[in-house]
Amino acid sequence: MRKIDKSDIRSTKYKEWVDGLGDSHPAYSSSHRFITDIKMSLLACQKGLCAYTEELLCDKSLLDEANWQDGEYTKELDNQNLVNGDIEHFDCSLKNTQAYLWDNLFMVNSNINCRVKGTLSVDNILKPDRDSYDPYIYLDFDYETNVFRPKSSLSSEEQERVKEMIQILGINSNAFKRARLIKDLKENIEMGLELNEPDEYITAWSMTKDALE
Amino acid sequence: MVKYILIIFKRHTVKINYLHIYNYKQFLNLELDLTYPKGHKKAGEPLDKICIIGQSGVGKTNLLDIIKNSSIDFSTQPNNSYLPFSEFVGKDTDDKYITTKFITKNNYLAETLFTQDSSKLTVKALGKNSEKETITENEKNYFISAERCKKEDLNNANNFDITIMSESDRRLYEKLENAKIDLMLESNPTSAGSAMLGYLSYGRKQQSIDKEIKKLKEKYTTVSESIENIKQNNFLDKFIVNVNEHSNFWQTLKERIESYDNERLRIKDKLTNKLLNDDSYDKEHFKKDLEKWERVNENILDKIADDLNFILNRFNLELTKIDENQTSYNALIVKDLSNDNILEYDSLSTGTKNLISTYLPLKILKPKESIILIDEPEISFYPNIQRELTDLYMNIGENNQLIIATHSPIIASSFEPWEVVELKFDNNNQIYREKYHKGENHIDNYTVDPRMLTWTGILTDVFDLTQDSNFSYREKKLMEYASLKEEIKAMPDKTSSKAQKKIKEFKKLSQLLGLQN
Repeated sequence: MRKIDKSDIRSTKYKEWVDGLGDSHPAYSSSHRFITDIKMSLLACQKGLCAYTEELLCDKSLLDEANWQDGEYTKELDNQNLVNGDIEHFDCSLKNTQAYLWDNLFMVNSNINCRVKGTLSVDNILKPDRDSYDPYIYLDFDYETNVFRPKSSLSSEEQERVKEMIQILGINSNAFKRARLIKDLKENIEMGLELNEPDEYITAWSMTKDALE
Repeated sequence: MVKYILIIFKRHTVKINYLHIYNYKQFLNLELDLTYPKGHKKAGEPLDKICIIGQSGVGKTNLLDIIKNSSIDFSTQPNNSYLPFSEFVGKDTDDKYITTKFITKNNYLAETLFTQDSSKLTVKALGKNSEKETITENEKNYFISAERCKKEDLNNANNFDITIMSESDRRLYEKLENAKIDLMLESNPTSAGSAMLGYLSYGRKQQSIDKEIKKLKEKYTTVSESIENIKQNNFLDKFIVNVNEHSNFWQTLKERIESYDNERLRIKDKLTNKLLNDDSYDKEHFKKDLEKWERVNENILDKIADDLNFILNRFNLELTKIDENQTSYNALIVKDLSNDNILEYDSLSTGTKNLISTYLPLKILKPKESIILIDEPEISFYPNIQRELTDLYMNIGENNQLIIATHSPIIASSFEPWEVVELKFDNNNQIYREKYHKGENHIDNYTVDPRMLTWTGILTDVFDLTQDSNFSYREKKLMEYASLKEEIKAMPDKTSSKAQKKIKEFKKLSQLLGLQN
């Protein structure tokens, strides 16, 4: 799970609107006029990847700045321009009162949003945009078993918290796809083939490379 | 229990190779090319077998029904009056249709078109220099039907006018027809069942009645009248057998086997009594009388023993004779080959009995150049039997097209990728067929092949399961395993008791996680 910098908000229209709301947000609606803007703005910050699993959620061309005009996303999203993800409220308890709070929103794989995480309560220790969050401090990736696990240098109390959050966020979900990619890349190295850096599962691959060296 | 098996016997229709459903049931616009792709040795020919998969609600069973309805009863109705899809539903009330294409065995392409108000059948010849050859509407039925029709078939045409017969012939004819009906009723509650019992004693009696009826008809029917009758029918045969009634069929067969067994025992007792009480009656007489009874009374079990054993052997079972000296099978007694235990048929497992009652009726029918439709063939079968089902049904007759709908990854694994029709919902909740190839439909462009995948691979790549295990539980243990490995690696003395304890724990976890496999 990469660290995400959400300071550059492309959807300026939404930003103006949400800043003006103060603490009183309207109820969340997936058909709200700013939903596409929020989605694409988040994806721009997340480089097109699921905030938790790092699975690629859309074609990178959809992230082009040229698709934005006057703080609004202009490209139509349909079956051809598919985004395989949902807006997720990191802390679900804020969804009722501050449904559109930028800091609480991420784009994630739909399966994680609906089936894995749901409304489980969270611990900010693994909030991907937290200032002091760094995957290399909190996580370790074991390429043989294909799981992220808590870094052994953490205290046992921290390890437990991280372990629980790994499961809540579904960081190891869709793991077979990640396993195949890592296996493929490892094979390329073993066979002396040209190595193209992957578009997704970047942290897992980066930690695998470190372990192989 | 298998949901249903439907077999379509056709003298002329061989295989479906195209289906387009527009605005019917859950299908807004579904077009299916059911031919082998380019690069395949059968490129362009209809698929020999088709496996329909997809989540509940995508219309697998409806698809089977559509194939059945668009291909069968067309022939039984006067032109354009067959409307199997009269309940067309959809957003657009004007534009809805189903069209299918079938390749006939004498290489004609038959296209059906069903709209809300009418149905239509067109036929054209295929093959060399015949793309442009068309057959007139008047000629088509005769041309297709009569080409391979034997003379006796002509006299089986329907709508025979009995008023032209002499009084005595008409009475004889009616008597024979009634006898035929009585025989059918007595034989089995359904006509489908009667047909299945084709080669049994019922079949022979029926044949002799049919022979007499045919003789009578021949006196009054000219060949040209018979041809005219065929012309009025469509070229598709009418013979449909819904083997969904297989339980009836098997039940009937079983009852007959048991009744034969009981009757034989009764006769044997009677003859034994005679042997004991009548000095002039010796063992030779006894043997002769019993053999005579056996010759006259048909032993069904003997006839089906090979087919039955073919299935029983899959469960390490075999039909057995109670007495080694018996020349034939007299009762449904089965031997467990693993321990030689003798079992009554009724004590066999549900799965075994299911396979027998499903497979055997089909096997006895010996379908040839027919379409066999099966919904969920896997029900109640253990994986090892599921693995064999496709082959069993493919080898049940000759040159059939097997079309099944299934939820079983194991069954799907026996299909070539182009033979799998995976139905899915798109973002607008409309149903489409998932493509397993990129670009042109050529075998080299396929990226998924169910035959090459592991069971896990089929579940994730074909059946779209997002996890490859019961992950919420497994994940915890995998993390523990990875941490333990790290901890053991870092231990300087691997022989210390602490290290040994950790290693033992690590190995145990590895076993539980199946990582040693």
